[in-house]
Amino acid sequence: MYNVAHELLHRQTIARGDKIAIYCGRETITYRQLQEEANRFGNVLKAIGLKPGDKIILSLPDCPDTVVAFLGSIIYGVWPVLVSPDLSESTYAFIVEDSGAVAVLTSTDSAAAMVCSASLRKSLCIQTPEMETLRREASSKLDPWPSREDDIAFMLYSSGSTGTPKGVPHRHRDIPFTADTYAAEVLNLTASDICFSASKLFFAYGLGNSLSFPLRFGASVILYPSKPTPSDIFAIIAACHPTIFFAVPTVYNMLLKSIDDTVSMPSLRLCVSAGEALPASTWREWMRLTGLEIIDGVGSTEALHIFISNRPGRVRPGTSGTVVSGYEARIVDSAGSSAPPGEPGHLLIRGKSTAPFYWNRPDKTSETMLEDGWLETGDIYTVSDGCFTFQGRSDDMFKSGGHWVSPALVEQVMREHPAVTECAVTQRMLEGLVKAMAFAIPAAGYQGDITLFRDIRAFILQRLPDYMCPVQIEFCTELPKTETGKIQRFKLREKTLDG
Amino acid sequence: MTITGNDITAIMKTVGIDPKTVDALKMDIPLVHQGLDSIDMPVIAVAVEKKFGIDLSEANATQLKTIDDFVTFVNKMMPKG
Repeated sequence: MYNVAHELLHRQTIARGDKIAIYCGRETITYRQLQEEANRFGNVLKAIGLKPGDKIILSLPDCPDTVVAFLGSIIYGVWPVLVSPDLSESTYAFIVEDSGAVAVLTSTDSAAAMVCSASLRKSLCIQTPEMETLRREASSKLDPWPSREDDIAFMLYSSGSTGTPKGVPHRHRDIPFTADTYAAEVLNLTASDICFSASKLFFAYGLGNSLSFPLRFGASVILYPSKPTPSDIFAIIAACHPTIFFAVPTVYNMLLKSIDDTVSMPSLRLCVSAGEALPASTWREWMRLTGLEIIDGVGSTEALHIFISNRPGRVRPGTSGTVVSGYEARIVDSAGSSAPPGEPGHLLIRGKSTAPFYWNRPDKTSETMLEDGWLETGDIYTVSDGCFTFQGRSDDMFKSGGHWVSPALVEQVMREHPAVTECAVTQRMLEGLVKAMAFAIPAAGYQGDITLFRDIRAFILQRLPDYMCPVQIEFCTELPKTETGKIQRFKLREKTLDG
Repeated sequence: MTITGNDITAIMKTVGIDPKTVDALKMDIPLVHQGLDSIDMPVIAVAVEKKFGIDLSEANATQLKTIDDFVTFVNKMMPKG
């Protein structure tokens, strides 16, 4: 039997039960309290009629309740499905239907949460009298569900290339594997560390940074429920003394934009970046102004965390570094044969934390989860002396702000705007980072000008996360298309590269 | 031709930054400390790029923190003549 949530909590409670596991504003929670609260939450699920094997959507900001609910669900044998609290109503509706969840836990009575509660058997809201009563009445003891390490423990959702999110189930064993490989070998994480991640728990990168790694090694974590501004981040680092800071390149760029001179952050021993390629210029500026290295790496929701990374003291700026122990990587051509040294090719990886399949998506599963355990990342890389460098994507997807952007999804939303007849979304570089940009044909009676640009952006920002919103919209009279009418995005990309 | 801070603030207003926020901006203070965020900043950069015909695709993010930074950068990079 192996129940990852029970095993990790039990081990830390015995070793350091009174140590603070989570700092969140003025709230703190020790390892013992975390175990008791997680057991209570599992008993709450039992009391409201959920059964092991059921699924519960957790749509919460980063706070102790999220960690408690995630671990408590797993202990009881219910799969937590961790999603962003800021999804659109249509995405919530899709995830409710696709996941087969029977319950949802939210923090607010937002419209999106209402979508879930209308169609689910049970809707819970943290910090409500009903929830407090359920918790108070629940026992802090719970026999863990007798799962095996290969059983599914939880599920995350990753953006799909057509705009439909894909459920990515992970096994009990995946959490300790990411910790024992990347966090141990690259970060050398120990119980003395205090982790602080600007990336949130619903993101596989954030889940490792703020939950798996601290819990595996008995370290502490600082959680911040809102989206932190650069000032918030510097204030938290100064006040709470984290030893490791995790963020995506966009956040490092915003932090650099907020400082005039050198900054001392003596508590930090490491800064980590993932989610998208970190520009070498950002690495150098951060080093110059803070004296700290950024350890850049590449990971994925499917692999649960980072599988290729630079190493402290041996960073090669502008590269993703070398393969993390426990993982294997290959660069192959389109036929699946090994690419010649130095030639770009498809990056395949293999390791014990990779998801076995996509939920309800046998088509995508067969494209991505290959024979013998290899995973097609969709990234194009070159390798030189064992060091991997990102070259682009093999599909239309791209990453901005550390998150996947599906051009098809942004186009779908743009086309709902009354002034847009046709549109195409692609990517451009801006200050060294990838940003979404669009081409649009205005409808009759509309002028493709700055007013329309502002209006379309406001329209998109109401419906999609900010990283998906084009920073530039070029109005035109036609779009490049194939004979069958499909938009040739590669031509648009060339257009943006040519200026 | 050289540009001034007023040229940059005029551009900010055209891309939808609140005019009251723009009018209160100090030229030498990082914009992210004056109410502008990660949604506004790239849009301003693109508008400056288009207005003055310069390329910011590979510019170092830390070069463009303040209005003064934009003025210095644009005056250095703008096509002469």
